[in-house]
Amino acid sequence: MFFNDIPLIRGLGTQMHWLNERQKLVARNLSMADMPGATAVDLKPLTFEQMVRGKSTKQLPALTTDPRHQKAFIDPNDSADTTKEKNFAKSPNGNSIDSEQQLFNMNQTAAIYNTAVNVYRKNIAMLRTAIGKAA
Amino acid sequence: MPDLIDALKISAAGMKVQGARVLVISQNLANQDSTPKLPGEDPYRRKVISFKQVLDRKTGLQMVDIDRVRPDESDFGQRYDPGHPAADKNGFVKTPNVNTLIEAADMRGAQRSYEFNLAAIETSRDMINRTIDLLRN
Repeated sequence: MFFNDIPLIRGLGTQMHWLNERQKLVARNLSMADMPGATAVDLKPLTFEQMVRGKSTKQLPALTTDPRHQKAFIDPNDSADTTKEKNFAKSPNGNSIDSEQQLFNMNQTAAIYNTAVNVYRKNIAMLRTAIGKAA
Repeated sequence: MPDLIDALKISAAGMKVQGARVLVISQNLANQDSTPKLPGEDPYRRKVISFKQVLDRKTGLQMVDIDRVRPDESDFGQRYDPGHPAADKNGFVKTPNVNTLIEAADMRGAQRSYEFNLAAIETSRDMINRTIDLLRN
């Protein structure tokens, strides 16, 4: 039996992957908070269907088969998986990244991630109990 | 997990540029009284840093980097000091175009951005640790 055959485990894995991607975008937004013309981007919300199917993003990077290959680049400003955050407040240099909103997104991401990890852990503990190997 | 490592790299790049920003601000503040040596010479000219987005070809990530450090072309100040070696025939000495209030506000902004990037690193690191902890039991 593979873990990925259990829908809950697969769903949690998908959600954790989505949260990792989101954390990357939050880090990108925060690092560009003082760059002229920068706009915040966020991932489109993860749907239940995506979770069940085990696919957190639509656009997948090309696989690299050699360490000398260049990594595929997916532009977060122009991707099927991301949305540009609308912010009415824009600084004179054209930057519209709201750092406070990004901190909120970051904490939200971390909280959901912790929940997912805990549910995962409990599920594994339950499986161990079922096979008589409970700690 | 590789995404979280990428997040660490992006935040580190953000911290690096904010560090460079603080360096330029410190330079401006340190030279706020650097007057010329002779009449007709210019005093210290304030420097301004700007950032740009670059593609790191090795990792495929969009990082922030220093665009350039350019001089602030605003006018110099003047101070009446006839005894100064750089005073002109009317007794005025040119002073740097550094405004300590602006530099202090800019320094505060840099500090704030640095802290945000640091917070992002801490969160990414915690998420990595939580994932590794899954192996423990």
